[in-house]
Amino acid sequence: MENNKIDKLFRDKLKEVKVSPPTDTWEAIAEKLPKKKKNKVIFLWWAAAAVVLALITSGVFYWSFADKESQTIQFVEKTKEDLDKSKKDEQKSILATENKQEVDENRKATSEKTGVNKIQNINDNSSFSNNKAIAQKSISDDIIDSQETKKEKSTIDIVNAQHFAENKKKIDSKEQKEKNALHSMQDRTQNEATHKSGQITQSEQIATNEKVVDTQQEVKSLVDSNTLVASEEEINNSDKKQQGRWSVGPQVAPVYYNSISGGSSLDSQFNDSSKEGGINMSMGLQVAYQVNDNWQLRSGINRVNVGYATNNVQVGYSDPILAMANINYNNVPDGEVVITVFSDDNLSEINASNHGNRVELVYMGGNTQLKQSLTYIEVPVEIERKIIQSDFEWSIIGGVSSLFLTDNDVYVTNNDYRSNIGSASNLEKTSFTTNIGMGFGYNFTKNIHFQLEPMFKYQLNAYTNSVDFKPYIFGLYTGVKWRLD
Amino acid sequence: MFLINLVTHRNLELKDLIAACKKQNREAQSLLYKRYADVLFGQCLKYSSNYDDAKDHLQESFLTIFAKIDQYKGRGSFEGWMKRIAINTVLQSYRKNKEVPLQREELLEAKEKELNLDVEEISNADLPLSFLLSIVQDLPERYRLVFNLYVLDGYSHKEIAEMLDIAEGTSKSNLFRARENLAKRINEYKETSE
Repeated sequence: MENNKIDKLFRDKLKEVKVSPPTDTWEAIAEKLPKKKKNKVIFLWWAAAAVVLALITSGVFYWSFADKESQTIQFVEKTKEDLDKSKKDEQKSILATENKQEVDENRKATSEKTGVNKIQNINDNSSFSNNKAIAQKSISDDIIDSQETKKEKSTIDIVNAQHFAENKKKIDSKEQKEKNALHSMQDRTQNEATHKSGQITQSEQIATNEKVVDTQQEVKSLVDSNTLVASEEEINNSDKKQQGRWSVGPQVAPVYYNSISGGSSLDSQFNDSSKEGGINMSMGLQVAYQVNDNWQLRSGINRVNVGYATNNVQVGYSDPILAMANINYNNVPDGEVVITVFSDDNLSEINASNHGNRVELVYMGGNTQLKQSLTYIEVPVEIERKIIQSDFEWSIIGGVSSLFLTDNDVYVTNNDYRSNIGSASNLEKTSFTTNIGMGFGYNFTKNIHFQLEPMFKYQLNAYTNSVDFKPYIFGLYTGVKWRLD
Repeated sequence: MFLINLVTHRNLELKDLIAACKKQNREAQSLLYKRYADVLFGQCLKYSSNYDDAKDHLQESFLTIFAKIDQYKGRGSFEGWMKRIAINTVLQSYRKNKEVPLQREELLEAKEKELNLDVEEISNADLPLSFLLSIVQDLPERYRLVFNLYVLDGYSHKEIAEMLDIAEGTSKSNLFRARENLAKRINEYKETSE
C-alpha cells in the first residue's frame, strides 16, 4: 500500500525526531516559572524576633508610664494634704493674730512698745515662713516695710497724743480744780483718738496679716513642694546607693558584615568580582556591672549571623581540581565531581586551557550569587565610660569579643532558591574582634534603661590561611537593661 | 540540597527527578528540561508551521508540564505524558487561532485511493530529515495536525475529530490531502535532485 509506505517513511524518520531547541529557551522558561517561596525558616526567625522586640518595647513603655502615673498621683495627693494643712494653719494664724491684736489693742493705747511688739510679731511671722523664693521674700519684705511704716506712723500719733495728754495732765495739776471737767473731756477725747488709731491699725494689721499669711501659704506650699521633690531625690539617691550594681537585659542588632579589603575569602578568582556585605541579625543578652558612676563593665552572650555575597557567579558541575578552593564540598562521591561556582574570567581561562569539558554549567538565571553564611556565638567583654549622665546618657564603649563558630555554610542562590554546596574550610573555630562604639541611653525609670549602641567590631583572626578578606561587623545594638535590686 | 543529590546520583532516577520537580525545585526542572528538551522540541517542530512557533510551543509545553506535574501519577510513559502536553499546547493554540475552513473538504469523499508515488524507491533513499520536517511544516495547519496525530502519534480518526472539533470524514479527507501534498513534495524533490 502506497499510503502505508508514505506513513512508514515519516514514522521511521520523524516519529522520534530530536532537535535541540535554541539555547536561550530554558532561560525564557525559567523566567516565566512561578517564583519559589522564600526561605520560610528565615522569615519565621524574623517574625519571631519582631514579636519579641515588640513585646519588650511595649512592656517597657507600659511599665515606665504606669510608674510615672502613680508617682504623679502621689504627688497630687501630697499637695492636697499640704493645702488642707496650710489652710488650717492659716485659720489658726488668723485667729492667733486676732487674739493678739485684741490684747495689743489694749496695750497700744498706752504704750509705744506695743507697736514695736507688733512689728516684731510680723517679722517673726515672716521669718517663720522660712522663705526660699526670692520673689516671694521681696513681696513679704515689701509688706513688712509698708507695715512698719504704717506702724511707725500710728505709733507717732499715739506718742503725740500721749505727750499731749501728759502736757494736759501737767496743766491739769496746776489748774486741777478749774479744769477737772475739761481734763476728763480731753482725756476721753484722747482715749477716743487713740482708740480710733488703734482700730485703723488693727484693720490694717488684719489685712496685712492676711496678706502675709497668703504669702506664707504660697511660700510654704512652694517650700513644701521643694521639700517633696528634694525628699524624692533623697529617696532616689538613697535607692541608688542601696541598689545592686548589676543590670541585665536582651539586646538585638542588625549587623552588617563586610571586608575592609576587597578580596574574597573563598577563592582568589573572586577577588575582583562584585561583592555585597550582608545584613543579618545579632541577638543576645547583656550583663553589666556598674563600677562607679562613670564606669561600667559589660559582658553577655550573642548569637551573631554574618555573611556576604559574591555576585554573578556561574554554577556548574566540575572536576574538583578546577573547583574553587577553601571549600569542603558536601558529599563528594570519590571526589569525582562537585557542584561549584566560577567567575566569568576563570571560566574563560578553563575553556582556553582545554579543560572546558571537565565543567558542565547549570543555568540558574538571574544574578546568581555565591553566599557565605556564618553563625558565631559572641562573648564580649567591654568597658563603658559615661560622658553625659542624666536621664539621657552618652558614653563611649571599647572592648574585645570572643567569637565561637557554630554554623558555616556556602551556598548559591538567585533569590528564588538556594543550594548549599559546602562549607568554608579556612575558618578559625575561635576568633576575636576588637570593639569600639558609642552608647546612647535613656532611663525610663530608675530601674529600666534603654540603649542604642552603634558598634564597630574588627575581626582579628577569622581565617586560617592568608586571604584578602579582612572582615568587620558593624551593628546597631538596641537593648533594654533592668537593674537588679 | 537537591544539587547534592545530583552530585551523588548523577544519573538520577526519573522518579526522583519528577518528585523534585513536583516540589518546584528549580535545578530539577532545569535537569528535566535538559533531558527532554530535544524530544519535545522535535515534537513541537512537527506540529508547528515554523521554527519560532515551535519554540513558543516548547516553552508553553514546559511551563504546563511543570505546573501540572502533580497530575502525573507515574502510570504510563512520562515521555508520552509530556508529548501529549505538547500536542495539547499546539491544539490550544490552533483552537485559539482557528482559521476559516481551508476548503470545502467536508464535501470531498475521503477516498483511500493509492497515490501516484513510487514510494518504494524513495523510502530508503536519503531524504534529509530537515526536508521531511519542512514539508510537514509546510502543510496547511489542519492537514499537518491530522497527519501528525494519525500517522506519527497513533490517534484514530474518531479521536482526532473530537480533538479538532471536526467530522470524522473531515479528518479522513484531511489526512488524504496531507499525504497527497507530501507525496507531491517528495516527487518534486526527487526530480530536482535527479
